[in-house]
Amino acid sequence: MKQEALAFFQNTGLTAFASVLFFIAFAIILYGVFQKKNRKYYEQMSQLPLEKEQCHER
Amino acid sequence: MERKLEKFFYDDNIVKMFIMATLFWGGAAFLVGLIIALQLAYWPLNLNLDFLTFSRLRPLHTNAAIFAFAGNAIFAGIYHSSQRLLKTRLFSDFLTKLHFWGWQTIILAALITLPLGFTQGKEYAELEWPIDLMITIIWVVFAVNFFGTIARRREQHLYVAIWFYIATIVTVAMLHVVNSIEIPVSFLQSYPVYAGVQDALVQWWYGHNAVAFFLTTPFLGLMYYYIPKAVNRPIYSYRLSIVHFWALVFIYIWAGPHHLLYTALPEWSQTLGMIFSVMLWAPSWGGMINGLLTLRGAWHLLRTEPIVQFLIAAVTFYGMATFEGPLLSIKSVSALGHYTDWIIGHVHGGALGWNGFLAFGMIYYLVPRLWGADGMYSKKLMSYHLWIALTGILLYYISMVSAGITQGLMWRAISPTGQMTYPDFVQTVNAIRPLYWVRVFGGLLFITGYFIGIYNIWKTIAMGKKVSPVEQQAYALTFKDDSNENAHRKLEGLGTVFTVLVLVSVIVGSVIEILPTLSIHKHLPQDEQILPYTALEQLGRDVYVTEGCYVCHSQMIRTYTPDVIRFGPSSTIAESMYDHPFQWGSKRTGPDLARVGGKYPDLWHYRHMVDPRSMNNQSIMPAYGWLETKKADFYSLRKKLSVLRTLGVPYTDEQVSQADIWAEKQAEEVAAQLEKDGAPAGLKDKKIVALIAYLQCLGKKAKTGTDTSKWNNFPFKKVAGGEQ
Ligand code: HEC
Repeated sequence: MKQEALAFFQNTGLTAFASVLFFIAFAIILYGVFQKKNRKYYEQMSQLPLEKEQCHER
Repeated sequence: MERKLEKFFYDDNIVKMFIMATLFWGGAAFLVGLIIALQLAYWPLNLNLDFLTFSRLRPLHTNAAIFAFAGNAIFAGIYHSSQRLLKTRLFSDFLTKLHFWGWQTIILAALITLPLGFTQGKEYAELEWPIDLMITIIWVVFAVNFFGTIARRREQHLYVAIWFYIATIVTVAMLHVVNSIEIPVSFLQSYPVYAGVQDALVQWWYGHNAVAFFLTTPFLGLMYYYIPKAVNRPIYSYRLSIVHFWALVFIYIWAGPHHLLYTALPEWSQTLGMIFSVMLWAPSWGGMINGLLTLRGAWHLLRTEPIVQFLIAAVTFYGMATFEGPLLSIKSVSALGHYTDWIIGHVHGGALGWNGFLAFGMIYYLVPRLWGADGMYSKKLMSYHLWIALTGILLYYISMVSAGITQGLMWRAISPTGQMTYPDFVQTVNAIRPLYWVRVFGGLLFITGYFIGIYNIWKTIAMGKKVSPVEQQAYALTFKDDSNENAHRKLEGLGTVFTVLVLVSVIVGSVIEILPTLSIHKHLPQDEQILPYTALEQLGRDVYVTEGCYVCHSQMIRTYTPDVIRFGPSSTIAESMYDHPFQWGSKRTGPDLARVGGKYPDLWHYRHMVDPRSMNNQSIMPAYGWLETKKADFYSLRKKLSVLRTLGVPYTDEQVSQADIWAEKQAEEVAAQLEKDGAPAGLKDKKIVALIAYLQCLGKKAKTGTDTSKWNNFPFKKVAGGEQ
């Protein structure tokens, strides 16, 4: 039975399920990211690379 | 909250070392690329030497470009930027050094083994099992060092570049381990556990994600760090970078099957690969726009600053390549472009334009800072480098896309009477040979740019003053503050949780895509299954893999009418069910060989292998004269067949224990016939006989077939009147 099921495995069900799952996860991330109240935090984050390090006098 | 101010030093020495390695191996990769480009344009440059032949050098070129050039560049950038972003020295000086020297040893091992023909025959995963093990170990060293650095950080938040590095480390580890599961037969040979369609799917799941997680995500991390640095502005939209990240992690892992459209791979899997590839359009372009718009209000830098020009050119190529990739994944476009040089053009837009320019931009940014000079020695030379290399890439790209489309159209051209317009495959090769010369010229320009860069960098280093490390200061982390942050932000701070999430999403995608296909061979109806290779055929197959014939020949006739008209019925899953590794190939510089068995007499193959021009005077195939003199190793066969039997190939006990005798007998018969037809005597223990036996069985292993099945009945039962 299982063998037969696998033999004709077109697998669309499982795949569709996974895609939907991924899509939902992604939607949640989108929602989280674009919440207005986080603006200041993201501004702060984006400054991280620009922080000055100690350098030799040139 | 009390926080302690701590003092520490960055390890910049390792960054310098990786930059040197990048430049050194980059040069090697480009030069080998130029050589093989010349060999396609002018076949005598194969020089009749096995280790310098196109099919041995091409894997060396691809591996060097990906793992030596891009690899070392990534490590340099990751180690430099991570220390700054995490405000700490790298976790362990010892691991850092081990990582560096281990990786260079791996490259050296590749440089020696690949030209000598030690290969697994799987693209970009050619390196044999001891080197695979070394890669695994060194990757773990890298991972421990990197995650240790994260654990020691003095900055709570992980900047998005760090995310991209994390995704790179965990996913590449998974890809490498899964694709490299193989059983050794000897010190430098092994068979992958997967066969045929399984191997194809796993290999291209790996292959495509090597592009995604070795050549894209780490470089995106570098982009998100060095572009803001170079223009002294934050990234255009940090939010967009987060979306970019998760979209890539979710989607990329599924896209592999777009390398297998119209093949024997199950249809649903192909469709899945196509859909997910097309979806990649959006996040990739979002990422590109994010990089480009970082220059908002500072566009003048694009006129005056070569470093900015390099970085922006790189991001533009990222956009072009990620536009073209999804396009090529659409089935009807793939039908035309697959197996042609279009793909080669596509790859070089990505590798030279995106990876190359980003690496050089980053190196130009770093060299003066690390070696204590006031900027690069010459801005003008940087500009020359950029413009000459850019011209080179464009020539390369345009010539290869034109070649690919031309050849694709010629393959499918049908006259009104239903005949192929170009029945002789070599006609379609000849049509594009001038373009091979254009490519050579393009490559030459790119390398010229590279040498200008080397000179400039050398001068800069000579100009630099000795620098001792500068003491840095930062507050130690206390994890309890910021209690009002929302869950998502906590998550970003939590390196481990984050890493696990990334891993889960790539694993789930992979399992769903790969698992069903792994059991597919078990469910093939009995009458569709095929006979395994005889011992001699298997030996010939190993010669085929060793010589790297797969870099020019496919063994997969697609379910695409022009393929069927030219090469015969499309290949089935069963036909490669005993193929460890699969040899479907990805490029047709020569014709498909899946049904070449029986097409020509043995003597034709003998003459053709020794001197292809003697059979087809316009051929560009290298001569493989040494196959006629080098001995075939019959004694290795017992071990080989026993390993293959472990992997599920149905050999009998006697076939395994007498494998060498089995092969010798068949070889004697082939050699005797060859001699009778006019070939020299004494070929029976030579590699060429095994190879011919293999070529002649391709497409002929059906259980109902009669051509070669006699030798599958070994050991012959005694019947009245002697053997057989
Ligand atoms: C540089 C690319 C290249 C490589 C590498 C290469 N070939 Fe070829 N091969 C060609 C081209 C082009 C042709 C068509 C012209 C001709 O018949 O020689 C061809 C033709 C053939 C044919 C005749 C196919 C037919 O249907 O007419 C066979 C068989 C063959 N090659 C076997 C091999 C084997 C075995 C190897 C590895 C030892 C190999 N080739 C390596 C390019 C290549």
